[in-house]
Amino acid sequence: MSNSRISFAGPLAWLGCFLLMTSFGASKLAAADPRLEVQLVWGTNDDSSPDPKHKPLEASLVKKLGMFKWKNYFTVNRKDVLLALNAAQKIQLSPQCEIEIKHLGSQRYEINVFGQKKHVKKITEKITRQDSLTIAGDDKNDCAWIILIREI
Amino acid sequence: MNDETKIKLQAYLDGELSRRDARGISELLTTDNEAQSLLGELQMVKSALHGNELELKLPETREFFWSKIQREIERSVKEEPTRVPAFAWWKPAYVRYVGGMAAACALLMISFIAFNNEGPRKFVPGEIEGNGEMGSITYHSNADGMTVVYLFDREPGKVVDSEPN
Amino acid sequence: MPTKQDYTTQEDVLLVKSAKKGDMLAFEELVARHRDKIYARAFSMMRNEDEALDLSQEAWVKAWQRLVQFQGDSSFATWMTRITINLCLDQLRKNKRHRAESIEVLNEESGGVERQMPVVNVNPTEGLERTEVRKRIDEALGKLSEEHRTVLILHEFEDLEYKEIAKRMSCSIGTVMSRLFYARRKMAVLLAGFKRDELQ
Repeated sequence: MSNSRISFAGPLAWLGCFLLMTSFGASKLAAADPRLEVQLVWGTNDDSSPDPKHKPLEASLVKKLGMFKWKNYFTVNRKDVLLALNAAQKIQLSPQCEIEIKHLGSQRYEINVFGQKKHVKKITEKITRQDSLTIAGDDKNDCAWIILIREI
Repeated sequence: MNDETKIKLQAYLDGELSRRDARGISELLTTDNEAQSLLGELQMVKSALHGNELELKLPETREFFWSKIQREIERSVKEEPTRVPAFAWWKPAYVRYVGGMAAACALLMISFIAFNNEGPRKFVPGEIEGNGEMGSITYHSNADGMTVVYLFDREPGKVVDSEPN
Repeated sequence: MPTKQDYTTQEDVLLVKSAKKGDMLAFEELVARHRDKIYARAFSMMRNEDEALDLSQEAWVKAWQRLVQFQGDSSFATWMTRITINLCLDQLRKNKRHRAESIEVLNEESGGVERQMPVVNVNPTEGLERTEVRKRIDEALGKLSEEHRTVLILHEFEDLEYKEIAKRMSCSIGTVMSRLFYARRKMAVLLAGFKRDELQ
């Protein structure tokens, strides 16, 4: 009795599995180009930003930056970018700060950082919804510039 | 001489003063005896300490010290999460009954991981290259799901590296 | 398969490369080579043999776990020392939390009695054997507060800049400069005191 049930359940399971596999695979292969959010943030111990247009950084991101010593963080610029595979895109975040992002596939990205038009560093890193990338450095008056890149 | 000038005097000695402030301190030193003797004292301590750290030997044998480290490394590897069977009620009969479904689930999981790169979150460090004047410190936080690359000016020849915290 | 003997002739760079691939023998050779230096740094900061031993062991375990992050921009010894320093600083912070702040600690930045001290105008280490100088410096370091000692070690022995020290000690550059200034002043007085005792 039980033998007949097994022989019947097996092919059904395989069929279900096949359908699910193909649907997962197809949906992934046809997935849209990744969209990244890039933010230039200014870290400071001052209570306000010298530019009133700068808004305080959203609380969830401030929490993530807990490892840094600055008291306040302000968003200087925020951009969303859509990146096709192997395509590079330049993003001007401030008059001094520019980055170029290239999508290398498999959620890996090559990021070239430029400061005052001069190439500073090339960073190759994986960026996913779970793992964001933060590039930071010291600025004048004991402040810091911080570039937050995450997939959205 | 006020406190600020004294601290500037020290920064002058350590080469950490701006060019303008350094010029000011140089001028002060030509006329101020108190500044001269304070600089002399700071200089004396700096040169006395330079290269004169006490050399100590670790008070354990190579084998014993290494065995502790090795044990700790092995323990930390074992402590990595392992799957413990959640069901204690299974019997061979159940295995036979759900065999087909289990295989299907396993394949489903494999297909999910193969097509979904957001699967296991294992940090693989990326690469950093470029301008040698800039150093970098890389830090990864699994808890925050974030990799931080901190860039900083580096004096030529000064060694800095990425390091865990 | 390389033997233990083969490793003793290899440079750190090659040993690190092998260790990164999981070669424990290569890592053991690195431990053997640098263990004294790492222990000495931990001891100089903690001034306690047991704590120094535990922390240097922890530093080596941490290094193994994070070896993949070592990019070779600095020497392996420098990288290892930095790990040790970070662990010691963490431990000092933990210890401090369990201790009431004394007047001495509160006086760290403002200088306390060091403000009133006359300038030492003779070199108290002149004419001494190097081993004696080292011994006296170590004794004097032992008499400093943790904050003063740490800032001196990081600046004079580790050659770190003010900015880098501030980051590691989680304080401002101004605090570092102030601590370093009074640490040096106190050090000068302590070294001069040893010299005076010797002359008497």
